[in-house]
This record gives sequence, C-alpha cells and structure tokens, in this order.
Amino acid sequence: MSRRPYVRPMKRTWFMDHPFYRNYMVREASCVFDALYAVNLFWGILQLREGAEAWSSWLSFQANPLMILFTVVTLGMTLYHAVTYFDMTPRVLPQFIRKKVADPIVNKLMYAGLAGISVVILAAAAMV
Amino acid sequence: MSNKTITIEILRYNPETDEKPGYGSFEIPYVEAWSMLDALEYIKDELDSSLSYRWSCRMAVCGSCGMVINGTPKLGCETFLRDFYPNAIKVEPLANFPIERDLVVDAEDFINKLESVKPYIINAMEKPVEEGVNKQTPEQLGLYKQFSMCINCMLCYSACPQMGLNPLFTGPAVIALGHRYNLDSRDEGYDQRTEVIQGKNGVWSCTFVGYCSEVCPKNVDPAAAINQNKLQGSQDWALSFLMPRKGAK
Amino acid sequence: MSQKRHIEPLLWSLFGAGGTTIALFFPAMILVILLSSLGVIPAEALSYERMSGFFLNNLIGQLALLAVLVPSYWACIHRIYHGSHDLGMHPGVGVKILCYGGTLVLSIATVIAVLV
Repeated sequence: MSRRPYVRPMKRTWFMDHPFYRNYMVREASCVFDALYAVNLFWGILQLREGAEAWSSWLSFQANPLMILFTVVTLGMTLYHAVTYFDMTPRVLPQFIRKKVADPIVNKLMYAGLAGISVVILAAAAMV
Repeated sequence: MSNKTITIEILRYNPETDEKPGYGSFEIPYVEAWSMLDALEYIKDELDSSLSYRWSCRMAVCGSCGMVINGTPKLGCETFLRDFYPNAIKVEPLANFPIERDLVVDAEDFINKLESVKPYIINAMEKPVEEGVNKQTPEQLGLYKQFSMCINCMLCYSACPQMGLNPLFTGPAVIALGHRYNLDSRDEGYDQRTEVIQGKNGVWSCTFVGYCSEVCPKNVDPAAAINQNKLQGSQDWALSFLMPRKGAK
Repeated sequence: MSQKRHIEPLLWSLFGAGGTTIALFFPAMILVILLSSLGVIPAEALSYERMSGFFLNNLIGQLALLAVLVPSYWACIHRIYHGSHDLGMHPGVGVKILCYGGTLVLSIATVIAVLV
C-alpha cells in the first residue's frame, strides 16, 4: 500500500462557495470605497487650503450625480463595516476583560459611541 | 426499516487507482434517528466496504469524524439525516488537508503545528512534592476554560480560507491551545510560545474571517484567541521599544 | 524572548485604529456631505469660512481631523493588501512597500496640509 495524498488546489473563487465567505469579502471590500472616499476627503482638504473658490468646486463635485451615487454606496458599505467591526471588537479584548464585561455590552457600547459621535457631527452641521 | 431513501454523495479517492478524487453516489434507507456516521456505517457494511472514514466516540468528544457536509465542516456524529431529508447530502473530506483516502485526511502537518506551540503546562522550576499541590481558583480556571475545550477535530482548519491560501499558517485550533496555556495561572511558557504564536505564520496570517469559531463544535472561539494575541503582540511590540532589555532574558 | 521584530504588530494597530475611526466617524461625515449635496441641509453648513475656520485654523479641529483621517488610510490599505492575498494575487515585498509606503506619504502629506 503506497501513500499518495491528494492535495486539492484552492480555487481562486473560493469566497463564492459559502455565504459566510461572501459576507467576509463584502466586509473587506468596504475598505475600497472608504479608501476612495478618504482620498476624496484629502483632496477636499487641499481644495480648502486653496481658498473659497477651490472649496466650492470640490463641493459641487460632491453634488455630481455619479459622486452622489458613489457616496450613497460608500455610506452603505461603511455602515456594514461598522456592524461587522462592532461584532468583532469584544472578541479582540483581553480575556480577563471579556470575563468581566459580556460581549453584548461591549458591542452595545460601540453602537452607543457611533450614535453619540453621529449626533454631535450632525448637530454641528445643522447649527449654522 | 421504512421504504424512504436518501442519497449520499461522497467525494471518493483511492490513492492506488484514482488520479484525482471523484464523487460516488449511494442511495440508503432513510432513518430519522441516523447521524451521518450511521449512514456511512451502513454504506460500508452493506454497499461498499472500501469506504474509508475516521470515527470513534460517536458523541462529539473525540473529534475524529470531521468532514464537510453540504459545504459546512461538521462532525459526522452530530449531523443528522433528518436535517437534510429529502434532499441529497454531499459529503467531502475536510478542506485544506491532503486527502489520504476518501474521507480520511492527512493530519501530520496539523500534529506538527500542535507540537510546535507546546500545548502543556511549562514551569520554569519543578515544584518539590513537599510543597503540595498547585492551587487554582475558579476564577483563574474560568479565564482559560473556554479555550481548553478543543477536541482537535480540525473543523476550524477546514473553515479557514487563510489556511488554504497559506498552508504555513499555524491555524486556529493550535493558536487557541497555545493561548489556553498562556492564560493558565500555573504556566510560565509564554515566552517559549511567542515565536510560533507571534510569528508571521502565527496570528498575523489571520484576517478574522471568523468562520473557525462558527464551525467549532465546542464553542472554543479560536478567532477570539488569535485576535486577543494580536492585541497582546502589539502591546509587546510597543513595550519592546520602551524596554529593549526585555529581549535579553 | 525569541520574538523577532517584524512590522505586522504596528500595521495591525494602525488598522485597528483606522477601522475604529471609520466605523465611528465616517457614517456621519459622509451623511453630512451627502445631505449638503442633496440640499437637505443648508449649504452654509459646509461653507468655506466654517470649514477652514475649524479644520485648518482651530487646533482642536485640526487634530480631530487628523486623528480620524490618517488612521483610516492605514486601515484601508491593510485590508486592500490582505484582500489581494485573498484574491490569490500573493503580492511580494515590493508591492507591500509600495502599498504601505504610499500610505505613509499620503499620511505625511495630510499632516502637512492640515497643520502647516
């Protein structure tokens, strides 16, 4: 009897095989949108430095229909990132903390943080 | 026995005759109480005695009968036909392992990794018998207990895509076990496990897919073990700049 | 301790920081810009005077902007780099230096743009 173990090659499209993997890839892909948006914000900072005219051209670029579509998608992907990230957060904490504070509490604290920060930013924007 | 039947498709591989694995289909009686292991036993006894698979305790304790059932890594002994009937069930050997024959995989690499993490209590100094037993409070036990439940069934290795992408990755169960001993109040082996756990093929090969914890039949949560070690490793890394002498120990 | 010093713990820490700032700050930031673009909130909310006053000439605003934006670069590039591995591309050291080096350049450029 001879041994001849068979090694199955990993498919390039392995992540299509299971919903868990597909969700994982969506989670990871969210960073592509956020990366582009972060570059957009960096560009905005440079325009802001340039002066009022450059800044308003950046703002009108944000109002471009295609840019609005991209922004909406990015917002959705960012929220998906947040949900998955908050799910992971309690499990990264040291075990002795995890033993004292239950995972769902840490998870809810993260949501509370998101809510609090969002309220502050939205209020600051609305208080003109 | 009832007249109902169910179809089991099994990924077969015979190293002596087959170039590569292929599916074999078996129609067996459907019995509501049967587990996948019972079904395989029926096939081996009545239909094809050459079918190879591992099993032992039949009660989710030994970790021998891990297999991929309809795409999900599961223990054959605690997966029941009734959850699939009347649909056909597809059974494959664990992913990310070389197939030895049929549902039997080659676990040698896993065993080597398991040994490399030193999954036992390491003490700097042997304690003389006169000093009595090592005491541990329930709280100290509770700290590592979850990670001590691992039965080495290797389902988490099958579930981990990083394992398939980088076969050198130490992997979920082994890191969880190393973590279990690091968290044990009686253990002093942290430094000895660092190279394996904190190496490039240790926790840093993980991207927190998280499926390992999902498939674990014992709720060990290896993904948490790995990512707690990333945080620990980052703290050690930062400290190594503040206290460079730590390396001279 | 036989731990060899490699840079992964630093890159992961930056990823962790950025993942947090994206999750906590980006949704509201994106929403405000979106609502302003759609005209739901008045254009004055993002007026030049307001924005440059807070984000370029107010130390608290400047530091807050940097603390949110710079780590987010590192979180994104970390996932993109590992994601290319997931897609079976297995990038080498050169690509890695290019990815993280580019992020370092962008980070420094951002700090200069906001503070100087």
